Amino acid sequence: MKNKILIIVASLLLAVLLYGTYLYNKPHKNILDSDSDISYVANTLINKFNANKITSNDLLDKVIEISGNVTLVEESEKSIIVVLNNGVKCELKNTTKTMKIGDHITIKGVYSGFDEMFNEISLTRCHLIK
Amino acid sequence: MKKTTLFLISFLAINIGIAQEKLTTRTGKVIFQSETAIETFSAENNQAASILLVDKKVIAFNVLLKSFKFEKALMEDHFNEKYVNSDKYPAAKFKGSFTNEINFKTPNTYKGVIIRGNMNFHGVTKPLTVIADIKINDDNSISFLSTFKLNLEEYNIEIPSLVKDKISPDVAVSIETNYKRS
Repeated sequence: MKNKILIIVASLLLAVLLYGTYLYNKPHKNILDSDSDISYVANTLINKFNANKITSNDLLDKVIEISGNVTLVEESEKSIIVVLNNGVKCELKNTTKTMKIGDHITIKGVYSGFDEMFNEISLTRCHLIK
Repeated sequence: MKKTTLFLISFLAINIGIAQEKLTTRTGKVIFQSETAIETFSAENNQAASILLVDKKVIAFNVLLKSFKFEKALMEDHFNEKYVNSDKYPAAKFKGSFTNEINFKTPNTYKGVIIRGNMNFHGVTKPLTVIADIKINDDNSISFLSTFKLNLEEYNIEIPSLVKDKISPDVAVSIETNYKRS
């Protein structure tokens, strides 16, 4: 009887420990492989956001697929920022494809907030889809 | 005719009035690091937004907290949910000004520029003075670099007693931006 309790307690402890280790080492969400929660044309998203039909809370942590025209490209050592239709800012990991103003592209990334400095919807961990 | 001339003159006057140089970047790098005897961790953000008003000597930053990247996904979750409450307070903002004589047209490095301003973080706005290096590069772009400490308690960020030894009450912050000029 005593042994049984001991085994149960021990296996419970082990389970907790394993779960803890799993949580601690939980990998970052793979944006490219995960399904998009919502997809938008840049202008539609910008208009809905400005009209308060979509709020920050609706988009938090959502994977968003967005397509639009490049209106600004800024490159730095670590990343590339692409702005779509003057209102959606996406941070891309360095890609081999060069983008220029006027290109029509589709990007997938995670919503990270609204940038009040430039009035832009901000996406992070973005990947270029096409 | 008179009206047109008047219009032209006022148009010119307005243009001269606003012909102040405004530089912007969206790729500012912000790193913060917490260091204690037990654990050191850091996070990096490569999409800080910033404006530098050259003539007014004003500089402003807007950093979205959800854009900070940690080594472990769990740390990122904890940072956003338990410490900075980024759903409620999505951004950290700083706006400050300096008085040093800086010639923004000639390549040079100005060290120890004192920038006095206000920091808005976690729903708290406090005066903050930081020391920065401002460099005018050969390609005419301007680099800005500053490191300073932020006391978490001052911004109402509570560190649970369980992890008191692991998270430093003062985090070291470094900001690095480059403003390109056309």
